[in-house]
Amino acid sequence: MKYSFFASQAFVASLIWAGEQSALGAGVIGRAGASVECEAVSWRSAEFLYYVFDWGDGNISATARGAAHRKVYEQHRFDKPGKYNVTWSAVTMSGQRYPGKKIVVDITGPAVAPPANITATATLTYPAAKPMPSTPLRTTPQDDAFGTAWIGKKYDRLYRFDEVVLTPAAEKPFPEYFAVEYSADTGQTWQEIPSACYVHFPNPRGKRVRVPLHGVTANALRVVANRLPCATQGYGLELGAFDAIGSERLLFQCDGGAQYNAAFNNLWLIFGSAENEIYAASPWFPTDSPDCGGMMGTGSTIWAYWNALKLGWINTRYQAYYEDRLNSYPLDEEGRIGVSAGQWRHLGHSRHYSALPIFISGVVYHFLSHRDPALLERKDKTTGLTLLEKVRKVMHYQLHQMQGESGVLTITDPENDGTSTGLSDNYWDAWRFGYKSAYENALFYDSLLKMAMLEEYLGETRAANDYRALAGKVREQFNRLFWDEAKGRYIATIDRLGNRHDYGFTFVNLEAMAYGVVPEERGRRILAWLDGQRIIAGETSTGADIYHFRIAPRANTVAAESVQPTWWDNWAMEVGKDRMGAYGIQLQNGGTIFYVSYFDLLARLKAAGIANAMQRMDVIVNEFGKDQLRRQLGNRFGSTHVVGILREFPESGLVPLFYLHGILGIQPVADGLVIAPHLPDGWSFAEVTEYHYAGEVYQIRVERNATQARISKGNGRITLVVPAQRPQKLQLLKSGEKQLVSYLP
Amino acid sequence: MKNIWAIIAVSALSPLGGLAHPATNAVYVNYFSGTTAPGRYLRYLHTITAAARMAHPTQPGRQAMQLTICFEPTQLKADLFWDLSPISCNRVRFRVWNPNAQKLPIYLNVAMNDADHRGYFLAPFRQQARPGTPLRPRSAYAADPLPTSAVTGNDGGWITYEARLPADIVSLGPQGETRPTDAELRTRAFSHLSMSFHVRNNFPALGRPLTLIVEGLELYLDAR
Repeated sequence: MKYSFFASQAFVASLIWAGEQSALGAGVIGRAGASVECEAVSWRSAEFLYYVFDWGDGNISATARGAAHRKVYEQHRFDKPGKYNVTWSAVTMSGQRYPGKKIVVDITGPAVAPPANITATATLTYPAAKPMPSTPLRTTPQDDAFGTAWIGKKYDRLYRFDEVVLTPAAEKPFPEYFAVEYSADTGQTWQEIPSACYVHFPNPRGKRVRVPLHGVTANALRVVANRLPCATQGYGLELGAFDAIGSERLLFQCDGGAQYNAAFNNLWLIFGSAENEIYAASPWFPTDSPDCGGMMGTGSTIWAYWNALKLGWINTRYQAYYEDRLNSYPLDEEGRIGVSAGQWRHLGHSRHYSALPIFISGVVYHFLSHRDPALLERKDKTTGLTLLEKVRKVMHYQLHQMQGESGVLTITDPENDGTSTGLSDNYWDAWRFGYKSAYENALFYDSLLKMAMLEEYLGETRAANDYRALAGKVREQFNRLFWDEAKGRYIATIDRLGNRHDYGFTFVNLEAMAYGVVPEERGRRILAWLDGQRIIAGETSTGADIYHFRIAPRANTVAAESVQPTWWDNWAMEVGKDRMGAYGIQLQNGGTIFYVSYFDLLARLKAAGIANAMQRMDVIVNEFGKDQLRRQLGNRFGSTHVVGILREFPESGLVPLFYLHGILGIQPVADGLVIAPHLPDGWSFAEVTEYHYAGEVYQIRVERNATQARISKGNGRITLVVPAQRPQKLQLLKSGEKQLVSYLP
Repeated sequence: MKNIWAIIAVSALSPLGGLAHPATNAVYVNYFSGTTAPGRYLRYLHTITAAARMAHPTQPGRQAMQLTICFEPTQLKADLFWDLSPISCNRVRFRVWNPNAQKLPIYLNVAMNDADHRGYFLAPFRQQARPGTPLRPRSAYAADPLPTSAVTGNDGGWITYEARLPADIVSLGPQGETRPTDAELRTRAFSHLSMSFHVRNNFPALGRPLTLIVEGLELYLDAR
């Protein structure tokens, strides 16, 4: 239920009920103890701005900055019943303020106790005041208003923090410029939280300032300022109190070590849900530097499967956007699908036939995760086809026009012929993948298995079996056609003229392994090449240099410019000496894109086991601990496409999903949810405490010492306990009951 | 009320000292002292071969950025490209330390882009400020080389670049607009600033690494 308040043509604010379902009377907005959510939007400035909500109960909170026209949602919990005057204002980067209209909020129900603060073990200050008073908290005064000062708290373990509550010191100025930062190593390394960085913050006039943290996993927090308010005898920070609200219950929780808990949770928070990031418009669109960070997804078909992996297990308001996109991609009468709404060519350049298998895998994964039959019946306004009809039509195109039923997907479009003049066909859009492409065939293989699951779900057993049989044929052909025995890896493409193109593409090999198209023995040979145990003489990058960027392997080990005519398409940037695309300074040519690590981890798990995968994960965890991977290296030509992590790379959020898909081994299938875990050595348990599946919330816990699977209900969620050595499948019975049955992979 | 006066007092200070402007409002100040990696908001283009944050003894608590520049015969400029959260301002100010001798003349130009991709070329560095220069083609910049920094007085040899908008906008981008008024500037927001260091083709140290130091960036929205 939604109430809207139109303050003027320039402002809209509304409150929506965000608590449990209730018959609401006029003017009743919420109940004590439940969250109330406010929306605000201002169009008054070309500047970035943030919103400050004064809740009328002695609390103020602020949103992340972003472009003026975006709608923001801010939640607050009132503890006592009553009528509250809520006001909000937009604050621009230059400090100009635009007030919104006052909103009267009625809170009913009995008063509830405020949530308890998490007890800190120590107070931290810099420069440290000596002696440190218990209250107010303060730093040693400095002569320079542009010095650095901070006040923080240390905690006994990692917590999932919802918010920091800063109480101004009586009669002392509150900082106008401050940021809340966190540490997961008790203060040795401090990390920024982009959404919690404020300039020109209004005087809170004694009210508590609540800074949302959206679940940061940390064991220390601080408020830091580089532009200090006047303090007693100089400049410094003074606070009446520094409190934090949160929970011991982490989203991803294991006993393998605090570093894993911190890294998996915060990797997901930054690159997965992206709740603490700054958006110009929404988490589906890139935001420019310096505010670029993680994103939720991208609307293009090329990302359709990756989006589904990210959205398949969470409950977010932005899910609807993805489902709208699925039905927005253009489809021609034959069954070819475009790359984005109204677009047949990627960035106006080339058609991407890789979009076909990706679209199928994306729709099926999303559907089998949420299991909403209405989704498949939704009609595309342009074609009049349902989503299910579209998926089948696209598959039909793959099987017939692209000769997929032969076991080899072949791109017959003369533009994408795989030669040195062909146009790019996939995400790696500077390379001329085409005709018989290993990358596209690995995706095709996956789409067949996904389609088999969908048909099985729909009761079309025969079709499902046919797809599985064809997948076997594709696997066989893939290994016959694309394997290079001498180099011990898969090539990229056989072009229309029969030429074989191979630049040592790490992503081709790792994604193929992760999709299961590679036999284990070949997988181990690939890993030996990547790990430097096997040198392929004469290549541009060999040995340890392949993981030069540490977070992921270089995209290719043979420089694009080392082969003439090059197989590189110069439409975006040129390769070669003293060119912007030279090897090592361009993410598609010797650079790296982080998402590949998701497939790298899964590939290692399949071919070499969990210990090997965790060795790779350890490197990522270590790198993440340094700077949260907020890296945007530039080259001397001004291009920041050396490594792909931030901004238009929402697929970075796949990497922490290794926890779900690899360690816990969760996968939606036709008749349920498979949990086939791979618990690392030394871990006795691993769990995800909030996994949304088929409209319900699950806590899924894998235990090494559990002897039998268990299922229970309570606290608004269903808990599954799975023995580490006994894979299970959750089945949803027609009666509404659930059961766990043994699962044989 | 005490809080308000304290904040106004801080806001009225000119961060770098020296010049005092009535009713100034420093809306953006970055001395490289935050935790955000400079690579997130700085791009080092062309001949800048290295960049590193350094503490400078004359400015406690602040840092500066030391640039290593190697001008080449085919590339006579070095751009430090600075990304901003879109922000309104009408004065730009920063300081440079130039340890190079006067026989190595290096010039400084500054340009900005707004959030709507309009370009604004600001007056180049000159020893004597000449605000209000009329619009002229980009190629007609009249500039002075950066003086050699020497430790003198309170400024310790820092060279201050300052431009007031709209008066010091000397040229506009390809859209060929007229110079915006101050009132119009307040409704626009700048998203990029580039500091462009350049030399002439007879520069005697082409191919040799040189050092330049930039001490942060300040943007103001002054009352008019």
